[in-house]
Amino acid sequence: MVLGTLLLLGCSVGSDDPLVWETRNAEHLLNRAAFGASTAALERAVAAGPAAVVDGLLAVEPWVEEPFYPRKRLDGEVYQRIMSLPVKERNEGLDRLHDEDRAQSLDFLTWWIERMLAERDPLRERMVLFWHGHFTSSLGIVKSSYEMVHQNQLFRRLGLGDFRLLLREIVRDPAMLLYLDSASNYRLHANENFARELLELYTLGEGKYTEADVQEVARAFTGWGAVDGRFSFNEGGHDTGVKRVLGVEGELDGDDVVEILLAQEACARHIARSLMRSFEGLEPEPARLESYAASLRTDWRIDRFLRRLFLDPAFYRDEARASRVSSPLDYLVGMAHRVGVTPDSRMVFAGAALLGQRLFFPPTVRGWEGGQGWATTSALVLRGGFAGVLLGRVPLGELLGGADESEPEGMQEQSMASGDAGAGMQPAPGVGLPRDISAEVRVLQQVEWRPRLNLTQRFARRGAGSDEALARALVEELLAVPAPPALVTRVAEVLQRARAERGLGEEAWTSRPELCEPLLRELAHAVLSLPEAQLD
Amino acid sequence: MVTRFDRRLFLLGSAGTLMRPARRRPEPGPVLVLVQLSGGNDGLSMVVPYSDDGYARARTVLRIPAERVLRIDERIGFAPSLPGVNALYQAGELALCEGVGHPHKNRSHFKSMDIWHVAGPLRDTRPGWIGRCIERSGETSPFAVVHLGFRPPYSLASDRHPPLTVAPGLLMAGDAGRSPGLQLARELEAPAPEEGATLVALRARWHHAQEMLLDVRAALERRTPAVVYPPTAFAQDCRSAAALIHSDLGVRVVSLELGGFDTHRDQPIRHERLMQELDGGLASLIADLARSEGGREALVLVFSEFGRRVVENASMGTDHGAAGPVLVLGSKVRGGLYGRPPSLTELQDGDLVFTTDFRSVYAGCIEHVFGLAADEVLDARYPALGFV
Repeated sequence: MVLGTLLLLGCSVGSDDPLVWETRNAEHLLNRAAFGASTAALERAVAAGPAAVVDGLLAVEPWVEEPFYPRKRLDGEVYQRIMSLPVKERNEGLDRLHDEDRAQSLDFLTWWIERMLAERDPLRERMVLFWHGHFTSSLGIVKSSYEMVHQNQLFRRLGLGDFRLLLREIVRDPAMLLYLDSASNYRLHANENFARELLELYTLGEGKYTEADVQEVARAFTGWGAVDGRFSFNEGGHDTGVKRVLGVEGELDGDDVVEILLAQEACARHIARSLMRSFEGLEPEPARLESYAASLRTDWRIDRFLRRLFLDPAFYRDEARASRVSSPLDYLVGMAHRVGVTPDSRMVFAGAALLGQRLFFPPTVRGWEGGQGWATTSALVLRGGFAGVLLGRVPLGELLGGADESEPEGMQEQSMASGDAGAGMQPAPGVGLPRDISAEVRVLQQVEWRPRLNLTQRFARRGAGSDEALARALVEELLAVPAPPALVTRVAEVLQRARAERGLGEEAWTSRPELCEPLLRELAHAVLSLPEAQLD
Repeated sequence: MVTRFDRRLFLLGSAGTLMRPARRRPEPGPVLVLVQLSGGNDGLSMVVPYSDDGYARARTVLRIPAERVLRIDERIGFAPSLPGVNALYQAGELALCEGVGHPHKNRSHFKSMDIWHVAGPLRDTRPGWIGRCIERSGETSPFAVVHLGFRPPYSLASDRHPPLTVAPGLLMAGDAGRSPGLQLARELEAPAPEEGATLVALRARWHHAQEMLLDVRAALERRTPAVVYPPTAFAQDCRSAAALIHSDLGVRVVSLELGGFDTHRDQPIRHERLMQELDGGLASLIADLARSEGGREALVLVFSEFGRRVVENASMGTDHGAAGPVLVLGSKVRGGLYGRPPSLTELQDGDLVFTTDFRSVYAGCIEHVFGLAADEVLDARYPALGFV
């Protein structure tokens, strides 16, 4: 890593110390505001300085050409017809529709992941992901990719803009209305699901409203629904009576409720807190949160909020750096950038899903819990497997239960590991895949992918010719966090040992690529399997 | 607080095969299987009050006709897609607890689930109720609490004795014994003294994960059940639960989840499928458990965060409600009806009023499974239902 020129910035927002622009801070910013960075991108960011990098992240493409998909959801007459069929035909019809729609959703999601992999508007795509976990909707409930795609496009359009516009639109968003059953919220049968989450999770936070407010908000939204993938208002189903929401009384409808919510002190605080927790990985300190909430209240601009946050020296404080357990997408996409490969987007989609982050399927209306919650027993061990796939060391089939016993040529001989890699273990026969995951495994089974990669050449070009230099380059480039010196020492020891066992001098690292590349990949695989590689 | 990783163990582990924790042959102690029906199970469609006029009036569309109900008595019966559960009831191996709920009215999935998991009104910093039981029981097996799935419920939370989280279908994928990357990673590992809290916790989990998974997989592979399990995800989790219980790992609690109960619309077809899946899994599980001494001591507790509103909504569904039935199954269970049936006409905000606090069900489990005084774990005296 290049030791960049230190730039001192005077923008002391929320801290007395100026922001020192050094490599680790640039990497911290790109880990959090983008999806990690390749070494080259990092070097550019260090040279450009923080304001230019942040403004570059915020200068999103004026419009994005998004793929179009038809609506496949059954409702209206077709729905009545299929539901009137005998159970067997009905279930078959529903299953077929379901499969077609899932294929469509996968197509869109891989498009989204390709944008992350290609670093197209990374901050905008990160905000799309943030809002997907905030204003949650799940394809499992919505049961139609069309509405889910449109919601995703709404987040792409407004996710970095004025929060008020986003909130005004999300309450009319068909996926949201279907997800939280507003579509069945009628005058005589109020459905409180949407009202409750709107208050608890989307705007105010727990304890900032009463049960009576929930019921009154539900009344205000009666008649709001989605028909044929579009917002619809059923006048006959709307409760026109007087409601009282958070102290405001009147013949309120959903739009009125949104304005009442925006006028609450708690709203900006709740949004500011969610953003800060997400980007910093820590609970904001109360005075700092108040300051950020106050500025959000003035113009509600998410982009300006983030600009302030990313230029705030406190964003780069020691406790905040390397404080997050990387989400599966951050791990997989960031690793692809740092290793220097572009994996098949289906693999990233299915990998993230297997690791607990299934796009379009937030586990609950609260979205993804994150943090140490990502580090489940299975996921922690499985992550190293995906590192092996990205490096061409583990065939995908092996990740899925040992179906493919073949090993990539030349990669396994003379392993550096001193232990026996547990040969002789047979796959567990017939052990069922977890609910909802078998679809991802089927996706993975379709993927044939091998990396185009030459680590030897890359490090040789950087002049890393000694055990020590090679070890440092490897650890620095692969981790999203600063290289721990003790780890560099250990890697250098293993490199030296591997060389000694083969009777080679240090010059072999540049003169013997056929030896060097498999060993470097094996070490890279090990480094990316370490706990340190799961942090950003 | 998670204990710091022990470097001596690491060196031991890197010297040859992966290290394994010392395993003791456990005393045969009863096991608790938790089956969480997530999303809010419509109890009235599971245990149907078919002869109650209030039921017919509230459920004009969703009503399950009396002739299809698997009758328990003149008042109630099981849903038609629960033949296995009904057979267990008839065999006296199922305690049906009616009207189970709590006084902390809350219709939010999360808060209601928190109440069930903490066994108290609010989520505080305490471990979950299972975590508290395990901590008090002096249990030492690292396999004592296993969640089959991706995210353990809060009930299992304990810093001193964290649950093992295993997705059985992915064990091969995350096989610590086969991964050359992990093998070498263990040799490279060089924990520094000044590491941040996130990394310290992550490192402990990382070691824990590798050690445990090898043993769990061996336990799952060792046994081919004589019982045929249906090919559903839930039934396969039941199969894994039974294999773990029959193993010598010292498993005391296995947690499973069946999700999808938030049936605000299209409830008939969705709920029917869920009941089928539940029935197939439970019937096989109980049959399998009956084949070992440890298995016959096991209790299977089936619960949901809340029941649903008595009056159906306009979209062939039901909204979040309150009280509902809880099932306790096992060879040692004294089958029959427990608690008092809730009234279908004297409702509170459209909800069934609970007649039995869920902690009375927990109390019965705590005393049988952990041999603990339930009031120590539950902070107050809840009369234990006598189903064991």
